[in-house]
Amino acid sequence: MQIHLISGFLGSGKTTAIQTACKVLITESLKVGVITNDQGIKLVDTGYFESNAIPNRQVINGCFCCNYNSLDENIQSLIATNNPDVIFAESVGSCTDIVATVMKPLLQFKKDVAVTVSTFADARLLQMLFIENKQLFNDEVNYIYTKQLEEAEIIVVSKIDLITRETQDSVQQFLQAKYRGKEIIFINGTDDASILQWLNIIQQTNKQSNTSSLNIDYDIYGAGEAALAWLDDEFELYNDKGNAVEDALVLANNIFQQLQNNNLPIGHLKLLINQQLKISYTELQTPDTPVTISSAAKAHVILNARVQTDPVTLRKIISDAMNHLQKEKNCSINIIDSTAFIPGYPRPTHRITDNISA
Amino acid sequence: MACVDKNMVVALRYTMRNGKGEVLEDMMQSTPVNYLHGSDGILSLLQDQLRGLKAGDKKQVFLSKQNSEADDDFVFDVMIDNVREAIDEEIILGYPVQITTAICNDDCYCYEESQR
Repeated sequence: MQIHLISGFLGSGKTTAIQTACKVLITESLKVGVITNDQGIKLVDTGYFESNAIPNRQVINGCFCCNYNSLDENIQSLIATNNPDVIFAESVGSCTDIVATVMKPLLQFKKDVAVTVSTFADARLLQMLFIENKQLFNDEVNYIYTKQLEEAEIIVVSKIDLITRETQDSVQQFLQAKYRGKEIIFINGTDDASILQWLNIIQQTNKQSNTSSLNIDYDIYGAGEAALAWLDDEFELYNDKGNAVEDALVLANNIFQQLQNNNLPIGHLKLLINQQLKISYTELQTPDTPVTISSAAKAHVILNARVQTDPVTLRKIISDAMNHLQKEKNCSINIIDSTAFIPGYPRPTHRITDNISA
Repeated sequence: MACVDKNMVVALRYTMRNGKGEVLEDMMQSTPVNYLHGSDGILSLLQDQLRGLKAGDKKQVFLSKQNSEADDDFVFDVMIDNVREAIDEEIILGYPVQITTAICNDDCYCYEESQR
């Protein structure tokens, strides 16, 4: 069985190419399956595969690399129900490092498969970025884009029906100089003959992978240095003397002071108390003390913190502040819900950098 | 404040439920999805329901078996993180390239989200 991993940015033509490839392979009496991983309110892709009776599965809530086990389950499910000859697995546009985190684990744990990695790129975008040198991406996005091209076995330049021959020549010249030794092909994803050109290359692959894993900085990949840790807490604060709201305000101020003492840049620190009173701190601004503080034995508090640090550090600072407050004010805090994380930070299930032999 | 309309780039997060109310996708703790309004980035039926919204707005939008090719009745709880004008290149390409990576700022509406 062959598993073709397809990476490439939003709009790079991955889904169109897979749809055409499935159609072509079915006419050759091959059984196909598709696993999608794209984030976005689409459904149209799944709908296409459903309406054309192409077995398909979805890996949701994160990229293949961070959901390897889910990808594996979906592969097993496709094998169990349809026994496909070929599976196309389309990764989310913002994903890279799939040679180390998906391709090599598949080759290591599944001895009966061949795996390829194709990276798709919109010819017009390549022209804008590398020939016209337009600064379209921010640094982190640019990093992921170039890493996707760097790790590809095959770079598939798509949408050539939308560019001139001259543009194609200049893009080809650039890619061949920049990515020596890589297979680079130019396709129109809606054209059967064009897709056959790609299929002929990926279907000839053997079970051995000498494809190099990326040398990648996960902090840049996950925009780690710039990313804010998110902490969302919901809790109830009890004070028999009726000072619960006041205590919540003291807690907010203590947390703010501790974050500043630790030199942690604050995106914001917000509290919503008893569904009414909103307190908001930013790096440069502390809130005015409310004119009236209602007397209450219980305060329901939602706390949102966005701070440039790791979630563990942020969690500890806030927990310490809560513990300190309970001792100092003789109050009690009952946590209802608590989460701390960095959104979207990639944490692959596996990461293999050695070459895998069949 | 910018509203969702043609040639605007929209950053949003969402939770998607099927007809049984089961959560199929929960993007609320993820980087926002970006799309160019008026392009084929997401279904036009959903885009139509987002028109006029602003950053911070929340709305429940629907995709039903009756008026689409969907195989179930889907409900999306959508939160708009950002709305901005597309640059010329994005309009040519039909999708956003200047993607929001700054996920949350002082203008966000985390409270409402936390209470959901």
